[in-house]
Amino acid sequence: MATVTTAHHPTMHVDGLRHEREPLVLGEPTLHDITAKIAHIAEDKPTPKYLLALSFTAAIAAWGVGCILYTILTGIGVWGLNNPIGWGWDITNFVFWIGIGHAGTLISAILFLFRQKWRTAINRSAEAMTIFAVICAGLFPLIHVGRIWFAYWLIPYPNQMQMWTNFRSPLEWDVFAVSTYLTVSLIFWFLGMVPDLASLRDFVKNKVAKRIYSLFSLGWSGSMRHWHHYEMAYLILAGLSTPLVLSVHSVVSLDFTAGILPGWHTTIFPPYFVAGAIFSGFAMVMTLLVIAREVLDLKEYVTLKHLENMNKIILATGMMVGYAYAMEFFIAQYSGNPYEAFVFINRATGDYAWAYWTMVLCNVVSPQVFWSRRLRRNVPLMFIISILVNIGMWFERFTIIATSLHHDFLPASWGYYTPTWVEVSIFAGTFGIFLTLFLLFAKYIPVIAIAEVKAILPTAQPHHHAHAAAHAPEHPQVQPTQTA
Amino acid sequence: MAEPIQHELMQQALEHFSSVVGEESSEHEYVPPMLESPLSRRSFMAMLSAAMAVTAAACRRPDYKLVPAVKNPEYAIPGVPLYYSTCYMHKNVVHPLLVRVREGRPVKVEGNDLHPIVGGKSSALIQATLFELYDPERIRPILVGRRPGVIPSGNYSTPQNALAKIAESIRQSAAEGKLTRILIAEHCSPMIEKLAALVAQHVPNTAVTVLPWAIADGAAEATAALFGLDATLVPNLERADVVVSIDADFLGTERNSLFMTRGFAARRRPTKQQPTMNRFIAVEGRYSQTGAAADERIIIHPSQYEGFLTALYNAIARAKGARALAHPTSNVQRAEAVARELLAAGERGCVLVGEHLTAYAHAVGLAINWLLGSIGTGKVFEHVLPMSGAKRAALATLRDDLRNDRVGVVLMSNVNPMYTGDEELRTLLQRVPHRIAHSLIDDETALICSITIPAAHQYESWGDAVAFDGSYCIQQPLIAPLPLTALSLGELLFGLVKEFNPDAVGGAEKYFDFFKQTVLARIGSESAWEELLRKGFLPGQPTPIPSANLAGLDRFTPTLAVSDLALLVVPSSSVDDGSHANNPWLLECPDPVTKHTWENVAVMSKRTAEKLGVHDEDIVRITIGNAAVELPVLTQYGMHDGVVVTTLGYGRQAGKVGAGFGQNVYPLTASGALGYYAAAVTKTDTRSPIARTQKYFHSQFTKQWEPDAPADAFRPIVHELTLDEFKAGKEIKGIEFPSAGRDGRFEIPLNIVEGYQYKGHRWGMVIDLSACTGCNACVVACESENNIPPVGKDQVMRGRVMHWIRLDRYYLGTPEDPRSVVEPMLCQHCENAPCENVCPVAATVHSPEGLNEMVYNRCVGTRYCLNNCPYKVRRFNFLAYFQRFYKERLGTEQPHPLDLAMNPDVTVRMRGVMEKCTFCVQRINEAKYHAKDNGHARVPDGAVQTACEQACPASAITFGNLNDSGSRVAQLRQSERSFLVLEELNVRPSVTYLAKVRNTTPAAV
Amino acid sequence: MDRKPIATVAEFHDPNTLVAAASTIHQRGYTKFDCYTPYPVHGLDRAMGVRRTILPYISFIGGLSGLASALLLQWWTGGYDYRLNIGGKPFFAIQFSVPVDFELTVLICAFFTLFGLLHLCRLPTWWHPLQDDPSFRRATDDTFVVAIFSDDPRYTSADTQELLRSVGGANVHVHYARQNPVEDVAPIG
Repeated sequence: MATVTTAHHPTMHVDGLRHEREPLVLGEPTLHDITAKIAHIAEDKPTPKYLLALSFTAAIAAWGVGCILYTILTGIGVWGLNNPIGWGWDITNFVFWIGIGHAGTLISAILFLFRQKWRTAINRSAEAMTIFAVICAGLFPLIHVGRIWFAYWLIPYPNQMQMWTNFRSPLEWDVFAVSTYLTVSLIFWFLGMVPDLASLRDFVKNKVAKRIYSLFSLGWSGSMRHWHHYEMAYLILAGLSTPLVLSVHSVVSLDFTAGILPGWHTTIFPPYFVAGAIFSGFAMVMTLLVIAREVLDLKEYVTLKHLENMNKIILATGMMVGYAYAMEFFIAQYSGNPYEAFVFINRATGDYAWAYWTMVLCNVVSPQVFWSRRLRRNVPLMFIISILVNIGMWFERFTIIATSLHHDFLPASWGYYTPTWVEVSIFAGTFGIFLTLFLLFAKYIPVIAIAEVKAILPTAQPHHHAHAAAHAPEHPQVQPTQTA
Repeated sequence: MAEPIQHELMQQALEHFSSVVGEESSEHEYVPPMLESPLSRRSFMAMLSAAMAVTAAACRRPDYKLVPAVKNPEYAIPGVPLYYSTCYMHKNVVHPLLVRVREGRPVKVEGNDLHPIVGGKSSALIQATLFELYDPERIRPILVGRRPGVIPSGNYSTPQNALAKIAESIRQSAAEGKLTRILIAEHCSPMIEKLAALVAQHVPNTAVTVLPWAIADGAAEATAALFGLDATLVPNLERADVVVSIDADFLGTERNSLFMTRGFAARRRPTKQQPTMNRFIAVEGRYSQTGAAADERIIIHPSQYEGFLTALYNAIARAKGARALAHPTSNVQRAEAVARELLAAGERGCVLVGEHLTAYAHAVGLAINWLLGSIGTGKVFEHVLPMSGAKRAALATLRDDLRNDRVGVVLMSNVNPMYTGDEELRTLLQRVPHRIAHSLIDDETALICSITIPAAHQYESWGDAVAFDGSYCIQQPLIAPLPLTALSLGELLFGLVKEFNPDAVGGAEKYFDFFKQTVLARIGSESAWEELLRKGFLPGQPTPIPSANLAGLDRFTPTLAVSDLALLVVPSSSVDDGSHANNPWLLECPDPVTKHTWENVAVMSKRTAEKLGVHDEDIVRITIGNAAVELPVLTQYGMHDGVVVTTLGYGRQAGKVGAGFGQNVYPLTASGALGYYAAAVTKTDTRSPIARTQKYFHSQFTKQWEPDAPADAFRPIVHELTLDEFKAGKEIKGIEFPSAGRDGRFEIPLNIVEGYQYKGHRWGMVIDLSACTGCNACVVACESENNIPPVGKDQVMRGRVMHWIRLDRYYLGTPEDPRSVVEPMLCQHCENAPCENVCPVAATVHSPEGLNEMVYNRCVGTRYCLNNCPYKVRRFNFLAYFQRFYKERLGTEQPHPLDLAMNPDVTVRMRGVMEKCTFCVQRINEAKYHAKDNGHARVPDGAVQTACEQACPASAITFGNLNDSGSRVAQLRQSERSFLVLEELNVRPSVTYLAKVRNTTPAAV
Repeated sequence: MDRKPIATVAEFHDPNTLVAAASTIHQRGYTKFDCYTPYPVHGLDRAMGVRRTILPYISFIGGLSGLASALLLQWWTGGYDYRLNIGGKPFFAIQFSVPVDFELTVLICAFFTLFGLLHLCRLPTWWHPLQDDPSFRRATDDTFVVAIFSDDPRYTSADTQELLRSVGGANVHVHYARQNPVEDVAPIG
């Protein structure tokens, strides 16, 4: 075994005046330690605790799938939708999950472009979260249609009907936006994982596992000539993903803004939705990471610093969302459009006021605790806040959809909407699907980007500066590899 | 409109049919279900092969049933509809009809456009009769020896055997010195009258008694006293300038409402050239559909109606030099103000008294009209409704006979005393030894009878009727009876008479021969017969009205002295008195005022509800004497606090579609008499949700109307003008937007791109809110024309009613004195349709003729169009409604023969698909083919009518080609009263509305 | 020695030494050599004399064709092949085509990037000539491996070994081809 030791504290004594900069990786692991740590998660037998959790989530997922089948076989009427309210929990959940699916690629891509090294600990799981969330999200527009067996008609393909899709429809834009987002995120995630899969391939002993990892690592050898192209590809994909992330929720928001309904038809939606998506996405990453670092013992890799940074973003995006709420309200009154004005007053005081105020409390009020550095670093508290934010963001979408629809232009057609047990079950089921996929991912796929973490170890890169050389550790002791 | 064509072969077929039915003999024993007897394999095989042989041999559809298609009669071209004239009798009112028949099956009922009293118009109830023809629950076989209450039991029989059995019972009971009573519903058929006379003459101890479902004969008593006529007078409101109604729902539930609506609405459409209209003052304690249309409402307690009328009479009598009445008066000041208006109108003024009110009220009303001079030939009151005489005396005799066990046989034809009767009558009837029912479905009465005979529907029968204008209408069958052994009432009575005295019927072998002989005797020649069949009626003169004998007033005294809380029992605006209660089209038809469906409720004012400590949907117990009924409460603006209104027709126990909805209120009444009752109303602790199709009625959603309203929002979605404002040229103001133009209207065009150019037809519609009375005829006509499925109460509660046209009703004014505007809302076929833009699969697109088309085949059901429709007129088929409703109620997804009621030109939509008004595109296409055949490039104006337009008795809907500047619709669109709903959205609807005009004068009462 | 040498392999454990070694090998004129590292080492590609990747051009072409296909698709289907009056809107307009234009640009660009990368790296290749070499197997874990291939014109077994030792390589050895490559085809590594 090679023992590559690293610096005791990489940046702590560059000069006495500088603040101590927290390391991104704690506990001075060697390169091999990192590989071994992650690979062991994949290779070790699943613990009873893990199996219990997995079967629990899988059971919820199965229940949800059962309810989806029931809906498909019986009709959308098993939901609570009605004449004024054509969309309810279905599209609320769609937008909710799409929002969750934002932080993943955003963390990965934007932080990558900004060279934020702290992203390495969380980007893999964030990206995975994106993909699973987008899968859950994509389920809803699919099953919410009355005739799911014809849902493929939304794809423009030459057909015997000689019909084409309507490119004026925001729902058609959604088809492109969501499927592009899923595809590109999948490519981005997979590409980032190839070197790590190769590491696992070379590490694991189990033959079947080795075969599977070999298949998916595509024969990656770590060749510098490959790394050379690979880094460029990753950069391009990051560059593509960043506007893509911003576009997806903008397009989703166009579902509403392109409508003429008061409460929907507003230009503030695209940025407001993007901010909200990042907000909810970060909250969801936070929820998952807090659990993951406990359960999978990843505290050295997902440090308090990471969590604190994320809390800052939650605070910032929460303020943006709060600003959007206020501005929406103001514009509605200021515009002089009586329908708009009514819808917003109705939101705050009407039948759905409870949903509106839940949203405001969770999204605007609760993140304010993060102004305090102490509270920002309080793990149980941030866990609670992250869940509150997720609840709040769900209610935001619900409020937008339900309150705008239930009292629109003609009072004679006003109504009210309550979900049925089927809708609630399907929503719970998507959590089951999401968590099941996430648990499988956390166990069998490198949950931390191995190559990237290795690359940010203090001694990982060649030194070009004098001061760096000065505190460089003693040269690693080299031991010849024993021939196998 | 195609000429009504008589179809000879159809007629021959029916003659043939009735003869064949008579010849069939053997009586099949009722075989118990097979599984009850243990079977060996051998006997099973034997039975199986026998069954197969029987199946092969027992083709129960002899080819004479398939006349139009199989024998290829000369007029029938597959795919091209035929129109037959016939008529439908509802109570003693005849509706001359024109029925559209496709491949031998009637698919749509319309009013006969040649007949002056309907003028091609129809009502919700008439439209819905088509369902009753095809009702899957109609009795199929004749059953004899039934065990009471068991379905099915007894033996199958033939009409001949059944008649022989009935005759035997009659003979037997006559031998015992007992009576036979044949109870029939109200009618206006000379043929039935003649047969009844023959029955009385030739059948021993037998009489035919008219047993109305609900009784309202105050008017008949008064007319008899004042004019000596066994009839009631029917006003022609087209001739009236001032109409005063005393709690008369003449636009709604009263029997002549179709004719009255036509006349009333004709005077409610002022134009720039002729800015005149009638003036309507409603005096009522409830808030009726008619009251909602009034120019002025005088809200008084029912106990004051008679006093008000007396005061009104005295004021007019003073002016006319007649003797005043000494009875107490009330609201004298207001009555005198009304009297002044009536006197000013002279013979063009009239007073209408609610048919449920007392004979005194009617007598005073008639006297006022007489004094005003509005009764007589060429006057408002010219028409005389025949056979509407008082019924109570005959019923009292019947009850007395029953009490004393003098009745041995009772035959009940299309009446339902086991539902409408009080407890005593129900008990007494079950004591009659021989009970025979003749009805459409196995109703409550059929269940206690030992012989049940399926009644032929009116569309399956030969019959006749006289209308109140004296015209003689023919009822000709459009289809052979769907239950093979069904008999019409005429056939039944004819058969009975023949059993006893074949000579009495002039030697006629078959009913049809007798019928034709009788009709020919009346009308003269064979050519008149042809004319009668073709046209559907022969014109006549109404019975002349003799001079009034005002001394007849003294025969009556005011009797309407009800307690502080008066319960009003009236027929339901949907299912009437219960005779149509198994009809889902009607059950789902919302009440015009409260918009509740599927049941009856206790309607009361908010204050009354507060006093009782109840809210909407809380159940109250209404007690009169020993009878009590529990009903959910529905509060209503504009009602007197001392009135609770409920309706008859619900709470049926038989009929799988209608049973179990609402409560039967008949037991609360005195022998089914309509009117006010002193009732005790108490709170209970239970609730029952009410299915309403509209829950918010305010175009101004303000705290004044709704204490819970979150904001004051003014929405100019309905417009109303007074007649003076209209004359002064007041403009209709839309919503005020900051970017509105100088004239206050939104600046148009707002498009950034060139609009689509419509070169050929450009279809559009104009709806006159001033004429619309909210009668629901359009709703059911649309349902029938476009194969719209009923959804059931639970789905209405979820807000999923499927009606393509709905009648939005909005309040204006104040909660104390609310005015209503009914706004029919259907797909607006917007040029810039917001629904089209958002459909991802282009399932809803715009036609080159301006129709917003819904392509069901292409729809995947995203419901985005529904969300984006500002009018919310799109309907999503949430749950395979076509199968679901009948599966739930009848246990089968495709109940036969209901499939025959479907319009073959319109798709039946599957679940998961959006649907909506198409402007009856199938009719447009048909009209285009006709135009092309006749060498026209364009459809001439009026050649295409949408189903709603055709049915609308108020003629409030006009449809046509907007590109043709001469068309009625294009000209109406130019009206000063025209406005577009939500014009500010720039969706450019093709439906234009004309503002409601009210004739309110500053010197109002 | 009847087995064919494939490459001479050396291990490194310090990135600085590695970069220096790669630089030296490149300067000596070797072209057929490669470094296998567990993570991308900055500057190593330059030291090895690898030229700038052409991947951005591939991606750019992908993006352009995505944009073109989006515009063509929307114009042809809505504005040419089947013109439907939908909500009174134009049959085709740039404004409403923007979201799909953008998404397809990104999508096709991403596909070009992915497949361009796979092509440039000749991936997937589930076999590698060095896959049996134990040092090579550790290149994905914690070892930097330099291999100079025998088909390099400057390759001689002795000189190359000497060179690798001189630049600080450990465990320098020659990797030979398998005698029977078909037997026991283990996955790469």
